[in-house]
Amino acid sequence: MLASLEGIAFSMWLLGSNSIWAYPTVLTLHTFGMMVLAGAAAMIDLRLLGFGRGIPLGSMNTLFSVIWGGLALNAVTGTMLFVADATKRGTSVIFLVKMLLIAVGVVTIVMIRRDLNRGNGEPVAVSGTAKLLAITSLLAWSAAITAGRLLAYVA
Amino acid sequence: MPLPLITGLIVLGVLIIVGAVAYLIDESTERHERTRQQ
Amino acid sequence: MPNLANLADLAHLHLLLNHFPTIGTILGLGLLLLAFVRRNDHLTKVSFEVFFLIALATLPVYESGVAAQEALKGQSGVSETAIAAHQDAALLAFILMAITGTAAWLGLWQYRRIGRPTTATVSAVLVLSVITVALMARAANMGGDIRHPEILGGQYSSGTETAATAWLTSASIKTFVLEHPWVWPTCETLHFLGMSLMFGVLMIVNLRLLGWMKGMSFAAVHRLLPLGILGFGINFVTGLLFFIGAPEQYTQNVAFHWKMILLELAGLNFLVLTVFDGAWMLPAGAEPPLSDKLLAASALVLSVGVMYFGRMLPFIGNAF
Repeated sequence: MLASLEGIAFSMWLLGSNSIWAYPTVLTLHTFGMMVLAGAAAMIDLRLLGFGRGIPLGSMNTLFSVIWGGLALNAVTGTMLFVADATKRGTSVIFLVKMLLIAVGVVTIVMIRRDLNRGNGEPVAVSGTAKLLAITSLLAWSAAITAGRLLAYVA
Repeated sequence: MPLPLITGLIVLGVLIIVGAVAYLIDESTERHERTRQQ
Repeated sequence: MPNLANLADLAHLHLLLNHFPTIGTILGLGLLLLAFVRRNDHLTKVSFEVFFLIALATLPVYESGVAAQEALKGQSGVSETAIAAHQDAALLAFILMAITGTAAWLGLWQYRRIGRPTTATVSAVLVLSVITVALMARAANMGGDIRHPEILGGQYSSGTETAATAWLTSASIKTFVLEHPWVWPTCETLHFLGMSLMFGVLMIVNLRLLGWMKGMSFAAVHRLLPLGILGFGINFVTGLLFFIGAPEQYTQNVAFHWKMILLELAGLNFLVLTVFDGAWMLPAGAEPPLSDKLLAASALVLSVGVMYFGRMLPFIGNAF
């Protein structure tokens, strides 16, 4: 099944074409999505850990939108990259690890959002739970990026 | 040692060091800002 | 316009640009000392700005220097040992310049936040700049030895250096990078992480300056700028390791030179963000003026451009 994904016209075009609009562009968009997503998540996490304490906790909502946007872009570009190399990625342990870490990252961000929105009005203090979630998020996204980079080196 | 383990450990180490430096700068700045406000 | 993929043009640039760090550091140190003598705080601030700008300018000097080395490969009458010795001296001076520039930036940031730099910062800049001036002079002197036959044999000509810094040579770094298979992937990973941290800071700061997230004042978000510098620090170190480890992948690669040009401009932009009066005054709730928005937009465009050319390195210009 994985081999047949590699055989479809899109996959052939993505890897086979010499055009800069094929693999290089998809890869660059994927890198952009990663940078945007991880960067925004890092800002929220670092704020929760006490950096930039003058920033009101409720004022960073745009960053959550940025995270979801980056995630969407990378789901699309990631699928494209997967499909073109399906037999290798589909059987790769590191790839699976990356997906799991992304899942952890997403869940933590959702939980952080919920924690910031609890009660009515502006959140005032950072709870201990939020701090733990922030550290988990930082570690999960960093590990996901590490796993992603190692894809080029490890089976 | 397998590659992912080496990379993972070094990355973790760098993050901890960077975090520590950031924390020190931030705390020092907080002390100075607070003294200035008084 | 110089052809960025042409080694001779880059060598020419090197001969032009190398004057900046050599003279600029002396100028910066002179201003700092004058500031002490005159007890003039404004002069201190200006000296810090000079150090930061000269540090920025040193990057293309080093880069073009390596290109010049490649341009001279195999040329008779030119000593490759002399070039290597100069390059190693220059690398050390470059690293110290970067550290000095960072300390100077911290001082400028502190001017904004607490009205004056801390004694620790000022002392650090003073000590570091003296060391940097000395190392720059040493590197420049050795550069002269490469192709100025009129001075060879004189007492000021540098012999072979048996420095305490013999471990820090381009050759030893290159061997380290190439001999250990974990170095390159680890550096790449750290490079991505540093980039994400930097871009995160740039996003939150510049989105505010564009009018989003009005709940925060600019002053509140200005507090995060050192995190951006730390992110850049990671990328500076890993970037140097890439460049020294495999210079042939970069010196004739147009994408790499464009990446560095955009990085320089982004650095200038970052300086403005750090010291600019206008942006600093922006309170919570206020719509930013057009000047802030232009500054912010350029910051984001430039940094995305740096990422773009970085990612495109294997595809644009000559492939790896």
